[in-house]
Amino acid sequence: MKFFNHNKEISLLFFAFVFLTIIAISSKVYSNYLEKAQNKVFNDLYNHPLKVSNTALKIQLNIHKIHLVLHHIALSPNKEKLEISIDQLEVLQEETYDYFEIIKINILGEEGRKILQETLTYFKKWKSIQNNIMISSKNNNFNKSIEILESDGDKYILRLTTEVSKLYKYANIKAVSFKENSNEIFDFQQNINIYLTFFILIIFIIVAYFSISQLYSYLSKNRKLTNNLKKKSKEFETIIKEAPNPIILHNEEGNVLMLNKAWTDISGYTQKEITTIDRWVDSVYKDLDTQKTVKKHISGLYDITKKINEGTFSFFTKNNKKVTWQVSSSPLGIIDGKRTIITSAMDITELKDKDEMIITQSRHAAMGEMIGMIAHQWRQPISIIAMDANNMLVDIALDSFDVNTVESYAKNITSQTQHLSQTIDDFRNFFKPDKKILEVNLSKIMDDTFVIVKDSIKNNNIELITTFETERLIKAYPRELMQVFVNIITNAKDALITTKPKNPKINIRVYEDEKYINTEIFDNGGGVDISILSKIFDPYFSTKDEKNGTGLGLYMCKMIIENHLNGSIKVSNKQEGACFTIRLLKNVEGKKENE
Amino acid sequence: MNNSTQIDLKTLMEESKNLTVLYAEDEELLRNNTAMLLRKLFQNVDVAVDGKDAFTKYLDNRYDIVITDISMPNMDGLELIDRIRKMNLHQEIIIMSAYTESAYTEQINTADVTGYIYKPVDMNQMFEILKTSIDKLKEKGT
Repeated sequence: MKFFNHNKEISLLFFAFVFLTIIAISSKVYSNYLEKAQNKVFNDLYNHPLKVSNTALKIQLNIHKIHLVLHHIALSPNKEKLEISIDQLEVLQEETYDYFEIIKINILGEEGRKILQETLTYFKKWKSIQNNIMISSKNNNFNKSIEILESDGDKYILRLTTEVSKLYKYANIKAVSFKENSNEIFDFQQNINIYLTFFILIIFIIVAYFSISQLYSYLSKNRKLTNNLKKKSKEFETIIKEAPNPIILHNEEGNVLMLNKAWTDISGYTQKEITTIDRWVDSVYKDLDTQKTVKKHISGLYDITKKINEGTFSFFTKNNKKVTWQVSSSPLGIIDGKRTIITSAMDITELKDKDEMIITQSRHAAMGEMIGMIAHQWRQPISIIAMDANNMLVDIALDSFDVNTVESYAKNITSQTQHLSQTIDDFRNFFKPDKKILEVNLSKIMDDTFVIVKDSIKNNNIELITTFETERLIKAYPRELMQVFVNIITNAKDALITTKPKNPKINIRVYEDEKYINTEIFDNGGGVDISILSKIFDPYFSTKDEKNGTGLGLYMCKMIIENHLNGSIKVSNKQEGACFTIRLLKNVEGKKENE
Repeated sequence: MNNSTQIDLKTLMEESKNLTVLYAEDEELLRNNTAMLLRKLFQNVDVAVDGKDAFTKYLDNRYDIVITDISMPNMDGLELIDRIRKMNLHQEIIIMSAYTESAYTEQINTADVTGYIYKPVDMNQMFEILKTSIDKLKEKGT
């Protein structure tokens, strides 16, 4: 699919084509060269041997002509005729010399030049004889002319004719051999040309085959890849569509790109009903303020660069059922030019219902402990009431019944019953569920907590030391927070009863740092065994025997602090004992919910 | 019942009148009205606000009967009993405490004390234990 994967093949093809081009060009150049060579051969053929042989024939002719003219000169009847013949002779001589000159220029080979030289020498000798004849005739000594002509002239004619024939033959032979030679060269060159053409053809076929096959495999691979890609993307789509958790794809323009079945199934809204984020928010949140908050939250999502947990959102389905989702989002990058986000949720409605059930349950489970606390609360007033009654009985028995004293006993009893009644109210309040988040002062919550636990602490001679270093308000469910404090303080009390240090103490310190309001609750009961420190917040984990502990107390504390109040709770061992630290965010809403 | 109490009370008073009592209780209201009742029986009743106070008072004055709560700050009743026993093996001691303090009851050696008066106090139970204690003192005295 990628260009880089085929780099090798492509460079190979490139070089093959370059090679082919070079060969084609060079073969063309070569054939051009052949043509030129052929031309040259023909030129040579006509210029040299043929010219020589032709000229040799002309010289032969001239020899006979000169011979004839010599006869005219020797036998000239009158002076006029002699003059004409002499002129003719001189012209012929000149002409013959010219011919020799032509031969000299065109003749090839050492042997040829030798023959030419000999012929020329004979011709020159014959010329001097011709001149003798000419001079004798001019002097009217015709007899001598005839004598010279007959004795020497004929001899030279024969000889010259032979020599010139030799020249002719030589030139002829030369021409034939030249032709044969060039034929051979032509054949050879033609063969090379044929082979070369054949070679180019083969290479061309190879390159063509190779490139076509490459192209074919590339195309088919590409087609396969495209098909695979289509299949894969369909698979991915199916995976998202069928995923058990609700998933949504949306972009910064607020368009919903994709929704899966879990999303539509749980919410009850179809994809057509929620084409945009705004339509979704408007459908599932009823409260206008909440709609605004949620929309603002979502519009802020498009800036994220990595996965974020958005927290829990509770909203209403089409069937008006309240569901709670734990939502997280990740950026998908830019799709079609818009920043796109994938958001997936986990339906924790049941979990949350269960959580809330456990909180209620655990509060009821703590009822046992509460009855113990009530016993502590009530023990003193009841004892006082009983003793007042006893005093009255003794007075009656001793006949010392006095109206004023009796009145004081009765007043005492009444005030104690008020106390008893107050205790009941305190505890009943504690069991009431929290309706809403309130702005509360931790020291006030702590005071309310002490109302419940103070007697059981005091009756066990435990000193309670509190330090409030901040009066800042926090948003919380007050009774849930109380429940947490009651739990931790009671645990500390139980630890102190078991370990019996010399001066049992529970310290509570509330202070703030940059982000949090911190509450430290620590005792001098020797601390938590290191091996169970990490399990202390697990549900159904208890070090106490069954009668005293349900194992839900600290688990519930953790749930309240972390899930409802977005804070944190941890335990550590200090010098003298266990230390629980609860951190709650300053000025931050308990949870993002619309209830 | 009323009649028998009356008789018991009157005879009890004959014998209790001259005895000295130290009563330790940390809870003020209860301490006050219990002391009020005890003073109707005994001529000489001292009160202590906790174990430590009681022990200091015991060092100054020997008492015929020591009545103590168990759960108290500074020094609890058990330690008080322990210390008194070390000084006087035969000291009459009565515990007056709540039944619910199971954490402590396990540690109480019943042989150490004459009786256990449960809070809230039932008058008859209280008088019975006081009578036992007075009888024991009478035996020792004669």
